Amino acid sequence: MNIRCATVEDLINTQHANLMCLPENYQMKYYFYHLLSWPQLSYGNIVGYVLAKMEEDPEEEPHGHITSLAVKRSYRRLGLAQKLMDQTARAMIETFNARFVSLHVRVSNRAALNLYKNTLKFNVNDVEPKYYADGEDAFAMKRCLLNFARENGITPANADEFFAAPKTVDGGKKQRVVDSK
Amino acid sequence: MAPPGQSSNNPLPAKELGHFKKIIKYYEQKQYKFGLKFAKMILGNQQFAEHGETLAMKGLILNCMGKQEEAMDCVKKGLKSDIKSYVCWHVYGLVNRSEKKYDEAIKAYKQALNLDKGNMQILRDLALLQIQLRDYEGYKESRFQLLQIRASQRISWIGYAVAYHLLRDYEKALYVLDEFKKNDTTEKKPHDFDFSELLLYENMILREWGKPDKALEHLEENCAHILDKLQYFTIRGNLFMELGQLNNAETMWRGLISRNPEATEYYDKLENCLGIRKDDIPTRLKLYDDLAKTHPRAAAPRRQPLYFAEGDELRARLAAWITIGLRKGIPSLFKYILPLYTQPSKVSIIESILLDFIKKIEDYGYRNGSLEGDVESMESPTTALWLYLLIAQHYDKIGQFQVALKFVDRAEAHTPTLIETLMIKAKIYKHCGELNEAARLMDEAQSLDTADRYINSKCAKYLLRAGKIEEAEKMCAKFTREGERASVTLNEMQCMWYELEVARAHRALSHYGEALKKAQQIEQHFVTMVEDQFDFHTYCLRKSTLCAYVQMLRLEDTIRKHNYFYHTAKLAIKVYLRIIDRPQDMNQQNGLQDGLSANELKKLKKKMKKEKEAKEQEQKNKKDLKEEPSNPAMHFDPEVLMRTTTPLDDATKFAEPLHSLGHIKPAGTALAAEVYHRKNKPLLVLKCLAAGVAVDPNHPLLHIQKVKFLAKLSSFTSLAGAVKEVADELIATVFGSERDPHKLNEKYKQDNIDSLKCRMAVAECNVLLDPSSTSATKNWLLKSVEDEKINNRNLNTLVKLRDAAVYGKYGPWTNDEMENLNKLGHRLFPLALTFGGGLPQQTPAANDKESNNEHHTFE
Repeated sequence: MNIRCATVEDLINTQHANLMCLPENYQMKYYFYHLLSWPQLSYGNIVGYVLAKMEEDPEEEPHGHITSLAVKRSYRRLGLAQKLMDQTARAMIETFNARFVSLHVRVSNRAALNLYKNTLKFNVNDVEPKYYADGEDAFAMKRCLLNFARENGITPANADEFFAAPKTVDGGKKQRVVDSK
Repeated sequence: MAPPGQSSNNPLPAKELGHFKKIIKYYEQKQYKFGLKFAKMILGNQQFAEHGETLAMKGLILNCMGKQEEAMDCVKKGLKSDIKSYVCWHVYGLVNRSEKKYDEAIKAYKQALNLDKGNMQILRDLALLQIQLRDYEGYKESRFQLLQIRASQRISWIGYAVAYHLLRDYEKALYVLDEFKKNDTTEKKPHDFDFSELLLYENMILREWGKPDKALEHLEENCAHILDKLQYFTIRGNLFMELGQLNNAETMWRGLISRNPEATEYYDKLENCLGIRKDDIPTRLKLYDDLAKTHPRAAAPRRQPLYFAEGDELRARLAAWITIGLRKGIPSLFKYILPLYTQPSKVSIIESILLDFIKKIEDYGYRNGSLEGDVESMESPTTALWLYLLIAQHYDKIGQFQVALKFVDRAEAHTPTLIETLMIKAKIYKHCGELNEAARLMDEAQSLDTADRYINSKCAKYLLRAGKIEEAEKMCAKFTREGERASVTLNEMQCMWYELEVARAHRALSHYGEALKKAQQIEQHFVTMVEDQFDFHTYCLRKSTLCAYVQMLRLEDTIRKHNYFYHTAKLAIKVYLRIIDRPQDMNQQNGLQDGLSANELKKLKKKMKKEKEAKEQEQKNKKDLKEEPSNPAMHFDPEVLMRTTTPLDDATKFAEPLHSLGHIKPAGTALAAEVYHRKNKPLLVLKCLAAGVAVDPNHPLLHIQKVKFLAKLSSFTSLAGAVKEVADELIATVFGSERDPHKLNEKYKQDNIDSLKCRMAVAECNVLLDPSSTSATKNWLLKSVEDEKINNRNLNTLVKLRDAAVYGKYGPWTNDEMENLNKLGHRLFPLALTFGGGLPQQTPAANDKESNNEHHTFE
């Protein structure tokens, strides 16, 4: 399977893969919004994709966020999800200096939870009650990208800021309060 | 110029002016009800009952509230009473824009600007509409004025540069960007995304200008500021290639492979810059093997050689690749070897590998030896399972369905509840034409994992193929919102695979109006996608994501090239042609009525009336369920669509994008040619034909159109003067020196005598050119179906033949002749429902695994 950065030409097929695989769906405009805001971050082909963005809330430390990730059932066991996630993580570090990446996952989705926790080293950060339209809770998960960058020799957009202490991934305002002590 | 509310004609006094300002405030805050309240307070005053600008604002608010008609009346009334007010003209433009009357809107904006020169807001609205309509010249003018007014704004400069870029005035575009950079005093962040994107945009313009040397220089100079490293390396690699610096290019592609070893594009590029010829297989193999060693976890360098290796080399690599896949239990294993099926020699290699594996597993058992033949080791039990599934897919692919079913049953006996087994079995039954059994199996598969939407979607698709439209919708409803029909949610989510399948299902059931409704809804999704651009014109200039923005503009111009549109257009055109050719089919339950007596017809109508009433009652019972999408643009009445008085014009709307956007699929261009032929547009027919034959000169559907064209050539009166010159050139391209339709048909027949598809085309042309040949032609066709030497006698082609016969393309057929054809179909495809075959209807009790064996007694 060919894994590559998505272009606008891929978006209708990305929407198709999403509609085939996941209960959370979006209109085309939302896919365009991602690609026209963060052209570097979405990857995929017709059998699977990752749709990703930057959280640019000025209240928080900027970080990557996985909007949607899916691989068609018939293309499982190839490690595609991991490969897609690694590509977007790399771009988040290089282009946006993201120190961590976040995502939401249904509490009942054991397969995805397993992938995020064990393969991709995400940690459960929080539980968001009734996050999904059907009332299901979500785990809010985070993955620190510092080690990933070091292990793969990735040069961040701004190395000083990226590798600066503290190396926790709590981010946001709280972090800055701790810094000033 | 006076501010809004105080225009020359009728200025408001202080109190009313206060109200008017509140209207604007509430409009901007989208608190429309409050806005209307204050409008009423002004208009309620006798003195200002006709106040133009207040009426305009009231109309604008009504428009936002979805009251289009009332809004337009109000705005027009306002404009009439204050024709000198730029506010009234601006609002008139806005309302027209929202009604998609773009030309009218642009005129109104320009009028408003005449009255209030340099009004930023109106200029912005005008520029937006100009770029949306691709009026680049107008856009440039508006951006220039905006730049003059706000030279301090970054967006003013960028917008002006984009305008020049789109006009392909690359030099000016770059000059404007350069001026902006020189004068830009804003402080740079240490890692500045906006600046990085701007640099990449400059580079894009340089490349499109055809200045690779300058582009490379620019890229390297700005290396430190470009944050999008993937783009940086990719562009650099391509530029090195273009400039012949192959060593440097090689470094880039190798680096990119290390970043992402699964992108096949990089391997192709690397081969290119190393100057390896495609037929130099040993060198290519070595390259990939070396890369596989340096990237131990990558699949691509191991997989790609399968697509060019040959003979024993292929056999060894394929066997190793398949062995790994079987051991891992990779469900998509077959999809990877699928590209090899275009070459018969490779198919036999696949088959012999798989049969060898089967022999090893069955002779010794997986506990007593490995697939490599090593008796010291053993395979896991699941290896056998995946092997059965793989070989089943192989036999399915080569059309030996009986053998395929035998192996899939072994897989099922091995592990009864594997979803993949059921899916593959369902697919084989689908290929046999037993669509009910296929759907039943998919239903069983989805019941094993109701949390997986993929298998749910597959099941819905199979239900639709079996004509079970309601059941399919219920299946989808497991993953859509409660309180509305699944089709409503899916329409809102632009779920085109579903809508296309529903359209096909309706057409297969002769519900032509419903089929057109779905086709129109899909077309509407494309309209929406084009509309969606509006917000991005401003957004992307602010965000600086200009490369992606320009790519989006170009994509939107050709968005109907997408497969969804292509298939929808084909379906819609065929239905519209049927409306013309076979109006009798448009009576309800159509098709069926052929050969019915008056009495039977009466009975049928009575029955249908009852069914309709029952359906309405049922809908009343579940009236809390939302039946139709909220978006009025999605509302179509199937009956009205089917009763169109302009079917050919309706078809043209779908045909136009098929050729104007450069669709390259011959079946589509042939269909477009048919439409233009009927519209008496010979030049367009020729253009379609020329585009089609450039791809596949031998395509049977194009052949029919070619013959039709020649047969009518002398009567095309519009081919004169300058048009004739163009036409003559195209005729030479398409037909060479042949001008005789009979000879053309005869030659095509001789050249393609072994192909059933081509024989069908020849037959259609025979009947067309010489109706007296009908009887002979029919016999020839029937014999062709029986003739084992003839190619592509598959289920699909046979169904097409039968449907074309029913349509009347091979002249009139008697019931006996038709029955004969159906019998032939049945004999070749005993499981195909469409030829009266299929599995015996099972009672629930008999639905156990043992009974499966009796399915395979055919052939």
